[in-house]
Amino acid sequence: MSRGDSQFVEFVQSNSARLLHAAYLLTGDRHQAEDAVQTALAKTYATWSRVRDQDAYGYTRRVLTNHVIDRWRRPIKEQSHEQVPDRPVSGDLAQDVVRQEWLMRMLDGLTAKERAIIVLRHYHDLPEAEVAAELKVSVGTVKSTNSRALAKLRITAMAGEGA
Amino acid sequence: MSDLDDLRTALRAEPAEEFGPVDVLGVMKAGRRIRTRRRMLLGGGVVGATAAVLVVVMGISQFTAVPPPVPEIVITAAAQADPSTTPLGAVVRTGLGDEVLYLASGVYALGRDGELVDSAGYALILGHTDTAGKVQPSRTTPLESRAAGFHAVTFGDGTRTGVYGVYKGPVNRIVFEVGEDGQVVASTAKWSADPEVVVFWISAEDLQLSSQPAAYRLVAYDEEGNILPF
Repeated sequence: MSRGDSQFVEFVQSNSARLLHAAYLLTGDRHQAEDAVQTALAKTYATWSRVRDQDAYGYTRRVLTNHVIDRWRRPIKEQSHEQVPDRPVSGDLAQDVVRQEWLMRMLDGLTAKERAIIVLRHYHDLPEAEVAAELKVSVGTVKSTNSRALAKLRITAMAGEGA
Repeated sequence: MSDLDDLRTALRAEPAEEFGPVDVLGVMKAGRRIRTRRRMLLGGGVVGATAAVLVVVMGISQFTAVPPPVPEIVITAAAQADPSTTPLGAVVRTGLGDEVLYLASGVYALGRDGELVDSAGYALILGHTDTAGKVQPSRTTPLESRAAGFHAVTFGDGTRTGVYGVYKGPVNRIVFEVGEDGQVVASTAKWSADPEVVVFWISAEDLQLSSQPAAYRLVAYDEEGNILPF
């Protein structure tokens, strides 16, 4: 195995958990998340000589996010939910699972771009300018989309509390 | 969700579902396929350039009756190098990290599926020097012939050397033409065992100059600026 390949294997081992987590937040589906990460990593490997000495993780994250958004732009069967799930209460034995499901249902109410901006801003903790660069939109669009998405999440959460 | 902190905490909580391990070998295989598709585009560009040069050469031939038949350039995928390969002639330092190029004789390279590939006597090797300064071979590209022109033109595989190969003939300059007006001049070094043979290379970074790889053209010039045959 060449040194470049060894470095790539190390990169995958160090970063795959975080990438899979991000992909899961973006897709809401374990299998889709795994596929998306495989695709993003393959594209990263294809250009490894160029990105390995730069921000390889940032490159893969950008490929991953845009890949998921692109997939969502294609006509696919949408998953809709008629009922907002109950907000998890403390002390629940399966609290983590319920909380995760609750989060995913809320994220499902967002558009692909809104969801991506929420994940990039509040999971990856990227500044607005960096989110704008990754999604190739203006900073103003990031700000307004983030506000709209947060407002949607609050409404969804309130509806959940009231259910 | 009461506030932003709750959202961030929820987002960062470990997913309840367990993910399967990433199939790294599968990822690398898929990555190589993507790279190969790009190479094929690039190869198409180079073959296209061959046709273009053929037209130029044939046009000139009506006045000078000089040109020899021009063999078609072959874009080659490098194979895993035999670790016992030893350099024939001087080792060429590319200046791209610790990557080096050299020629070797009597080399039998391993093909992509592990089969032995006859190198027809000579092969171009991409390797690197280890911390002790010893040359470690990495990739082997057999020379398909010893006729004048380009041979063993190879694209780097995750290496800093983006494209490399050998030119046999009185070449003074080798140029990657990019699009309408971009040019990348290849670095060159005469082979110490035969000055008629020139090793050339271009960094992977320079290959990123164009977003349309099909626009690349590989051209060899002599001292007077005449285009040499492929």
